[in-house]
Amino acid sequence: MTEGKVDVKFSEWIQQGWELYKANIGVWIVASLLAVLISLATAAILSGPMMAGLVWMALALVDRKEPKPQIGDVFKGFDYFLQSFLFFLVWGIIMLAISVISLIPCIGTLVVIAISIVLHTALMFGLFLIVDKKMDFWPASMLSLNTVKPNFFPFLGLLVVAMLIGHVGAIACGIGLIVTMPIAVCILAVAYRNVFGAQAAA
Amino acid sequence: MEREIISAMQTQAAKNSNLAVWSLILGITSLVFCCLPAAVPAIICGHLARSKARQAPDTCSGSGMALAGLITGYVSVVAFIVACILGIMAAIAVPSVIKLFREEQKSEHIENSNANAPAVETSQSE
Repeated sequence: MTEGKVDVKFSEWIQQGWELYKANIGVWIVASLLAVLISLATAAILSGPMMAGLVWMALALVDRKEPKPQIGDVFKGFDYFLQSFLFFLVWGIIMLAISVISLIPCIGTLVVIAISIVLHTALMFGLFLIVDKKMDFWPASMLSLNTVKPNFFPFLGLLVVAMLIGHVGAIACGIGLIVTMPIAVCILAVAYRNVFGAQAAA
Repeated sequence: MEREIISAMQTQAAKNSNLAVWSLILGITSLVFCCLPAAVPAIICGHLARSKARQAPDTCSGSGMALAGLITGYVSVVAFIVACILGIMAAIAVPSVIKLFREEQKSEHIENSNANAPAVETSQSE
């Protein structure tokens, strides 16, 4: 388990993530379209397992698994349904509770944004740990938090860059999100594999 | 013989997996269209698929899908019940709210006509 100092190889991981995405762009676009549509259709109930499916695909590509992941593999996330569902549910409720702070005038919204960024950074490997190591959602969240804590700012930078790239598509009425979102997943998958090592591969 | 056993096992696994897939599809459909007739089979298929997966974990897959179908099915049943309750409450409340609104308008109209009456009288005397 990686809980010490980690060397965050910013540009290398982003480049590797981009290469993974570029080599399988067709599969990624259709898979993320499916994930977004099903998540929206079910009022985000299934967004946990659908994201877990995308994470599974990204990890399979990082590990160079054969045969290569196909579009249908996005449903592999259902193998981790309960934990991924609870991960999204519990942290979603916590975020919702925290957002009450935004009712405080002036600084409220800023505080909520800051807490949300910190929480997102702390939990950036949570879903990866659930999928890769088949961990329960709470230990996975804590392990992610403990790993990110000693290297918080480098990981924050990586997450911000990945999210900026991943959400560029949102400019085009949100439709482009389907195209760009998997890039963020690929970058984080590369980062995860470098931080937690290949020995953990399921 | 061995071939037959393997094919039977595969068919069985596919059968159970199909139940889980159907549970998920019906669950999503019921949630999207707020449709009770899809939610009930989603729940039934989900329970069947999960019990089969529990009985034979080696040959049966799709336990997660079945659970997803179950949750979406139950959520749409709850949503349907809540919608029904809200509908009944609205059906009871709306006519009385309209009645109250009309009475208020009527009383306002009477008050206005009473306030204008002296002015009309003075203009007539002039």
